[in-house]
Amino acid sequence: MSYYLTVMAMYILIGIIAAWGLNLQFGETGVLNFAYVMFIAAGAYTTAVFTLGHPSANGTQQYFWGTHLPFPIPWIASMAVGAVLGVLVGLVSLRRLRGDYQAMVMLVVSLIATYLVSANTGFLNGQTGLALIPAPFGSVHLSELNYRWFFVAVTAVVALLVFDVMRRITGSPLGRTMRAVRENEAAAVALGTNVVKIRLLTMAVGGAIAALAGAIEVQFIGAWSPAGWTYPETFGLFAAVLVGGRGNLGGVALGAFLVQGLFLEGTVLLPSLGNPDLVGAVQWITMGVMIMLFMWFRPRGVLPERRRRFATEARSRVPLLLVRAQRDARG
Amino acid sequence: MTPVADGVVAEVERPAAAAAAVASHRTEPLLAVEEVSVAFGGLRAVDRLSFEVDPGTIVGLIGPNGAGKSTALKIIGGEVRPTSGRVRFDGTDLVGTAPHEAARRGLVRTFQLGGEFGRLTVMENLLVAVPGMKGQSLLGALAGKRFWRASQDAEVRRARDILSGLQLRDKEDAYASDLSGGQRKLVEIARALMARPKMLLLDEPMAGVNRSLARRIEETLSSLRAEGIALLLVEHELGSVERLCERVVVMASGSKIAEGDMSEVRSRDDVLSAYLGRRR
Repeated sequence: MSYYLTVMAMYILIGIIAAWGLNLQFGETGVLNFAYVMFIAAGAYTTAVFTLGHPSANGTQQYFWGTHLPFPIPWIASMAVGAVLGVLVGLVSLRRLRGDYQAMVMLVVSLIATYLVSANTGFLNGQTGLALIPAPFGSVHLSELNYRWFFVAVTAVVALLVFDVMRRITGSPLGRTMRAVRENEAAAVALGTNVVKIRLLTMAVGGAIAALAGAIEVQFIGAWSPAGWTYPETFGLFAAVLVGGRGNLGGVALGAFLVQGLFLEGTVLLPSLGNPDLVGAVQWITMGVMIMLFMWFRPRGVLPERRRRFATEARSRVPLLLVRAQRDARG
Repeated sequence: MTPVADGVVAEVERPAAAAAAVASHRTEPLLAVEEVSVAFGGLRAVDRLSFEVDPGTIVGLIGPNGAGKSTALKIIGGEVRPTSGRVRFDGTDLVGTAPHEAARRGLVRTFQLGGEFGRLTVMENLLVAVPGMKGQSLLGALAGKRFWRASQDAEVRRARDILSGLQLRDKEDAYASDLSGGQRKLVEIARALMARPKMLLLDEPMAGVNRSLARRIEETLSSLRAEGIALLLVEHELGSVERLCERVVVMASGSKIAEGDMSEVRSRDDVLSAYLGRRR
């Protein structure tokens, strides 16, 4: 049971990190990135080839290039790849197209990527995927269970760092500009906002965060294949953002906990009834229904985006007495 | 007297002589639209349109529905690229520049409908417009509040002054989507002022606004002119146009058919024919 708790904890933390990245794109900036899972996969594959070593050392697996570098270099490399990929996908889909069309292009890009990686065996071992990916922290000598909890703890620290980055961005004038782009692109442009630049930035940062989630996940489970990043996975993360509350970091974390943790992973514990695929099918059907219900009845989620108020002069850090004294002095 | 923008006092009708004095200091107009045309498929929405706007003046752009006024405004604002002609603003040709460049150079437009950021508060709506505020870059944002807070606080104070001038101070925490249509128009004007514009392009600011709010908008626009800000006003409410504009440009079927002061153009047969649908 304790072993399974580490799995649940990891999936929840990874889900929260990934959902925060998607929230920056979709919740804050309004970019419908239906290719989001591709960025998680990019991070996972990057960390895999940065840890597996040279392909010749892994006779049973084929991949285009590989090396073995210590933690945290593979994770950093994954984030860099996610950011660059975000800009590239953004340049293709965000510059000349609007709204719905951007989403369609991203979905197509995601499908193309899955098929490319699946079909080309020499690139990343095709449909079989990569396995035997080494875990990080090789110098830490703990029992297997304690090691897993240690990994959970490190991931929790990473999640806190990602939260801090997201909080700084969303709470700043940059975050406000992102929300303006989400609310009314034409008005944002009319006020001098370079909307394409803002969206590319959000694709880069969100892509890096998604790739970081993938990097952590692949080293935790030790394997990665195209079956793990099909496009419905993206909608699982969208469900987390929508259920929790787009634009609210706490809400999105709650959504990821509920959807990614309890709903998607927790149901694995359910006894299989007849057809072994039944639980999985019911999961996705229920997820679709849940997204629709929230869109209809609670589109802002369980914890909606908070209203941002600005301190008045008297409520600011200037002591009230000082304000009064200044006012009296002015007569 | 009510402050509207930096050093501006509302409820002051600017004398026409002062407007002329501001204009006379410049050798070239602030905005020059030169032989601008645009066609959508076979439809020529704007056809060889030319006119000029001097600093500190209000020019009206009027005409019947479908005359091409809003398209002309979009061309000037950089939203639509003309098929021919030039738009010179403050000495620079705007045609071919990115759509957001016009605003960065001081040419800011408002919208006929739905120009607000609905789920942003009124204060946030205003702060978005501040050009080059600290914390708008990724590094600035990551640096944290200590880096950008003072700059934001100064802009919040300026925004409150502007909102007070427009009697919207008590609405600063309201979502823009929760305001009435007239209040949204005022928020748009306030937001445009936050951008420190040299010129405003106003697309029907009086449309759907009650008389009291329309009067407030008129007073605000008058005080902006007093500050030296130029305005190009697309408006169907001709009473407001007559009270505010030194000069009007009349469009019909994409072309300019008349230009002059309101009393002059309103008596012309071609204007009456196009505008009121009268036969000559």
